[in-house]
Amino acid sequence: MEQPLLKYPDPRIRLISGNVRFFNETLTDIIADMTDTMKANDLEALSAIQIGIQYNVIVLRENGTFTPYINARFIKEEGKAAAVERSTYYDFTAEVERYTSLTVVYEDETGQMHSRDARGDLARTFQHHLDYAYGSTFVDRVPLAVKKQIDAYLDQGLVKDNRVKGEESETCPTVFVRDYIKRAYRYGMLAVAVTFTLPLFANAEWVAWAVTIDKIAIPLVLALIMAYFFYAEYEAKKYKQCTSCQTGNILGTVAIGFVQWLALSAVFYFWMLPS
Amino acid sequence: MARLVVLGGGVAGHTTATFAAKWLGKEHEVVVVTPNAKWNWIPSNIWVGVGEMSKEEVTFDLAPVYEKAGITFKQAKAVSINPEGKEGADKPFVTIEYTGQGKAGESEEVTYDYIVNATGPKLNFGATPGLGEGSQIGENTVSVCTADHAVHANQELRKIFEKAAKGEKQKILVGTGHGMCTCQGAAFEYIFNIEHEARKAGVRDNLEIKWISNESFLGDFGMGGLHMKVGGYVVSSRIFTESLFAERGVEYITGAHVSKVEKGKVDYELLDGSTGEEPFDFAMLIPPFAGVGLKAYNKAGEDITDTVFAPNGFMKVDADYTPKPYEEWKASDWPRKYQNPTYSNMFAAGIAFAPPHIISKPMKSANGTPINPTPPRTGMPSGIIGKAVAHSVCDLIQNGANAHLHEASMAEMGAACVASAGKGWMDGQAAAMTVYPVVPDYEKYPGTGRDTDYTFGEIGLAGHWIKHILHYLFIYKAKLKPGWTLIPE
Ligand SMILES: Cc1cc2nc3c(=O)[nH]c(=O)nc-3n(C[C@H](O)[C@H](O)[C@H](O)COP(=O)(O)OP(=O)(O)OC[C@H]3O[C@@H](n4cnc5c(N)ncnc54)[C@H](O)[C@@H]3O)c2cc1C
Repeated sequence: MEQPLLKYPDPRIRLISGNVRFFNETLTDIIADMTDTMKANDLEALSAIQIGIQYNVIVLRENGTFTPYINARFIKEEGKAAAVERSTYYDFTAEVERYTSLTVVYEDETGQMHSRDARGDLARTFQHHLDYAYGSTFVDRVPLAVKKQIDAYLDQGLVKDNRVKGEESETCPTVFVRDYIKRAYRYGMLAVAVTFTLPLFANAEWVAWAVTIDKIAIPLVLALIMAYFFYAEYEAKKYKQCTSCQTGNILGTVAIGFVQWLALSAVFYFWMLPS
Repeated sequence: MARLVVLGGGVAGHTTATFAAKWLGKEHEVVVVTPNAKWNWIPSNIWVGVGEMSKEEVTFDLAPVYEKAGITFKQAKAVSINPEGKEGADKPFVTIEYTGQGKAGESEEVTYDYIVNATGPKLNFGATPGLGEGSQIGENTVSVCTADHAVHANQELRKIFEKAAKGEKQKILVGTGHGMCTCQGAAFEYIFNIEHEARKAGVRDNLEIKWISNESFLGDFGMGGLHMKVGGYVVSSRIFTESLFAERGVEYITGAHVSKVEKGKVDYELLDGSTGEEPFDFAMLIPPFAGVGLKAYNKAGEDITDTVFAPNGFMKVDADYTPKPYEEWKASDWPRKYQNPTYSNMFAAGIAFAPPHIISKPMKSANGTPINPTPPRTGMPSGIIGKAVAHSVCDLIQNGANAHLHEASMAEMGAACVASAGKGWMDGQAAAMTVYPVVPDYEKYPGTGRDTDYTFGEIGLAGHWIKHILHYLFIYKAKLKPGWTLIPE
């Protein structure tokens, strides 16, 4: 049965697909739905995730026949060339560099392994569609500057959150509160750093005023870093199943923050205070 | 008074022994049997391998640390275990052979009440013709698996850099030396550290740098892939790694089983059954891992190695070892208590325990050669498991045989890999990749078996700082300096 194609800004675009493990009726149904959707939309290739199914299945149409490529992997990639690609998700095109030749290793609908050499457009189609299966689009393959342009062009950015609404994970949060504290002390440090430029052009009165502000801001930043540490530790305990290395990461972040704070204080002491 | 014997003083064994000694106090004895006089923070060997750190910076003497902690240190390697004792003596014991402390070559039988096997991997160079003999590396390639290997690797690398500086084109090959290797992460770090050093030395233009690995896609890392945040978006490690390779001009061969190594050349077989060869001037190939080859005997002196150990030499624990096809793998196949099913006073921690199956998708070449990463058990899980086992043993000693055992399943553990891609306080780079859980739980998270909501970190200088800070933190912890218990595994 034909299925609706995912369109931007559907967050499922960013889901990473799993390997197919069961070669059963469900898989046959998925392939049938994909084939129907391709016929209805006149598509040459389709990844399962494009109709919202989170499995690594690509169906290709060649000379009127539809062939499924399951759990595809590439080997022997060679040569590179740029060409314009269009995503079915977004309404724009971009030039993307891809391998011009590769071998696809894949399974058929019975789980039997095969391999096939692909060149030129065929190789490009495979690469384009396997990226979908890895929760990605050609936007991840373009230079950062182009990516930023695209991001600015899209009114909701490049789809940051791949969770479908209503499916909030109850075990591990996506955003930790500690990250807000981190952002706060970073902005604090940035603000203080900005005041350091004042002695270069502003008059003594302004500088004296900035010194007073800094005198409050610098201890405040330190207090925030400490608050970050304690809150983060609390959060790490609360969500300790989410990763085993949170404390290491927190200590690292605090250490970096502290070194930055020390540098900031040093500049304040040797540069701001005398001027 | 009870005696706990810990075999192996690596990440897992050191963690087990130090925590057990702290919790058990003076009433009980903790013995560590390990062949090297020095402790080595293995992840930093990468930096020794590119000359950014010395061997001394990544190792320290164990004797004074154990002395202070009240641990009996025997510089020896374990040879066999008699879990039922022997004719005329019921007490179980382990036979060890000294490698130092003025008793090199001498054997001793050390009795135990509890034993923890944390002997890590045997670096099985012998599995690939030309890579080495048994656990000894051959002359054709280098390794960074031990601090000494890394020192040697750097010497060889410098020769390559010198030639490149004179304008000679040089080819560097880094990756896995067999179809069933793990530890791709270490090789990944090494190749990008070499690339970084080559640019610093101004010789990059004369170097061709290539990756060869048994992963079926770049970024598999033996875990079927991880994910990370790049520019605020969650990205699969495949997309990220491919971009990094492209950006740094490193070519790659994936899905490869290195079948033979010769001077200046490797032969390999690919997933599609085809073969190829790759020349090199310098190659760092990770060997496959096996158990260290401990034997086990019953009371009558009969060999019961097969009962205690899996065929690959790793110790059997409370995992489900029934051979199962990929579609039937379950999170619950993985061990929780790391206790040997036959002898309940025997545990295994770190790389030494036998995993029930691999983590990545199993793959075979068209000729039937298995080409897939074996499951990594990185430092963090090794440490966490080591600590859980120490907890269990202490409870058994202090509260009796019915004590509740502590659990730490890799199917409920997340992993964060901070992979170094170049060292330097100002221009260093590291990527922080995460995965939760390490072992996919297909029942809880249909599809990938993973919760991709959980991420942290991005590539960049901050990642490098974290990595560098971890180096100091872990060496500090391992030396049992004040406050060591506060530093996580
Ligand atoms: C180059 C490299 C880089 C790595 N980088 C990272 C990283 O960045 N992050 C990470 O998490 N992990 C990393 N790892 C993996 C990590 O080092 C291992 O996961 C960890 O060391 C495993 O701990 P273990 O205690 O099981 O084994 P080991 O640390 O190897 O310890 C085993 C110990 O047993 C001793 N032993 C051996 N045989 C015997 C015997 N017969 N009797 C008694 N003792 C014996 C050995 O001498 C050794 O001391 C890296 C590994 C390598 C090789």
